Amino acid sequence: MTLTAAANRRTASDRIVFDEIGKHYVRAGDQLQVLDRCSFTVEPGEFVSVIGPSGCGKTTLLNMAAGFTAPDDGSVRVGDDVVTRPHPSRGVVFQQYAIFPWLTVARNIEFGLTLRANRRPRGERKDVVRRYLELMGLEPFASAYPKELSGGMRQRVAIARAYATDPQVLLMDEPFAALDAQTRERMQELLHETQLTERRTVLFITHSVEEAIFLSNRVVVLSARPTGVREVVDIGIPAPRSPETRLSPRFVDLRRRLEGLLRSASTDEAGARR
Amino acid sequence: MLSAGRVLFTEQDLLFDVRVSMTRVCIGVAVGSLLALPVGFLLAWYPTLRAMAEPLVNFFRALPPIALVPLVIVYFGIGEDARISILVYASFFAAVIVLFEGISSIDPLLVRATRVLGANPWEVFIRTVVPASVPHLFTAVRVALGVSWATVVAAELVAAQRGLGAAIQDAATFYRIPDMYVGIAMIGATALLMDLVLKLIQSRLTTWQEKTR
Ligand SMILES: Nc1ncnc2c1ncn2[C@@H]1O[C@H](COP(=O)(O)OP(=O)(O)OP(=O)(O)O)[C@@H](O)[C@H]1O
Ligand SMILES: [Mg+2]
Repeated sequence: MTLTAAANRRTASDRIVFDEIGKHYVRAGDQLQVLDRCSFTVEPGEFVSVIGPSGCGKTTLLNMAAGFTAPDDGSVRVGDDVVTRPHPSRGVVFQQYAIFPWLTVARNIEFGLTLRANRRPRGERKDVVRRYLELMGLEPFASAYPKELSGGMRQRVAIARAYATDPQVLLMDEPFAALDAQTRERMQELLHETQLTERRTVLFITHSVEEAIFLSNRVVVLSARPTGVREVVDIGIPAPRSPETRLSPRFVDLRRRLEGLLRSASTDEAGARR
Repeated sequence: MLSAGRVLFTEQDLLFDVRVSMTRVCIGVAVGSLLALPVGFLLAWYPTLRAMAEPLVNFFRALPPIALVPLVIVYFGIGEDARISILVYASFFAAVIVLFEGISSIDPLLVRATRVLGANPWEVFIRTVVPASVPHLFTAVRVALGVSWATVVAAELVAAQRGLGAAIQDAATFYRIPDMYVGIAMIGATALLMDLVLKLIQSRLTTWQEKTR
């Protein structure tokens, strides 16, 4: 498929809608209300990051979009469908590098395309694999096993594997959290470039305000538990963004503002607990 | 002892005994592990089944196979069937424990990752659970081999014409102490050799595995 065809296909069908989500867990007999009427939307082709206090339910939200967890109230819709179970049209990148240790890098990337749900002919698979090996700078490691790779490279394999099945939306739960600061910045740049060429609808969860600003069109700031949306911030820094972007006045401003929002959300939580 | 060894190897054909015992062990381990394989997968996959079956497995595993010899003789007589069935029994329970412990320790994240890529349950099993189980299968076979060697000799002490256990028993009857030592050493050496061969195959087949050295 050509790039334009792929771009044209991205219509309203891949909008992610979190509609009045409620979720509680029962722990040691106590009911813990995690999410309460939490609503926001990720538009087609948009990159949206979610930040919020630790334990406020970010992973829970992503798991709902992936179809691993069902909400108690409200619904998550992708396009016209209410999410009820995992589907290859929604790719997931996990925090821990969930790549198959018994497959080479190339075979890991190819994996999704060999499954019955999205099987492609051999020649087409090879093309897709070559394309993502190149995009992720993994060509020299095509036939290496994961144990030979660094953490950053393993996560690139996981990202390539998620892109390879051509999902409408990508869900990423702190994919760079385990990486050192330098590798992390390089991975952010790589993901940003990838997003510029591939244009998927991305929901990205992170603890890093800087990461959220650098990558996103919009940033959703969650409140403390019971969690709702505290604020949605438009980033509005034109692409392509570069390492220098991080030093621009607009970037620094946004950083100050988001960190303030995050801090007050966390103190709300501490106050609520007292 | 060296001279005893020489006599044993030439006149009494000790290598033949080694071969007889080895054949029994191999058949026992092969059949036992093959039976253990589906059972291990089932127990690992269905927690309720496992909760029901685990006490049972532990009960039967705790019985020393030797203690079953008289019972087996009642049902199977004293032929080759009897000896092999004891080995199958010993191998099966040793392998089943290792298998289901190993298979249930497979990273659930890999299963999740397989599912989000679009795999159906069968594909999850065949493309992820099975390859992730290969190292555990090797461990199971190696444990079964160890248990089987311990069992085969005891079984041969009771009711066998040939085999290493029979050879040792023979030597004991005529009070040939050095011969007994040679026989015992041969058991250790053969078991060691088989384990080495298995380890070699394992490292060939699972080069992908991360080793903590
Ligand atoms: N299966 C569960 N059973 C009980 N409580 C749970 C369960 N899963 C999550 N929780 C609780 O729900 C809350 C939200 O969890 P979640 O993992 O979604 O938070 P998070 O925002 O991703 O946290 P972090 O910032 O640490 O990644 C936490 O307080 C957690 O302890
Ligand atoms: Mg989380």
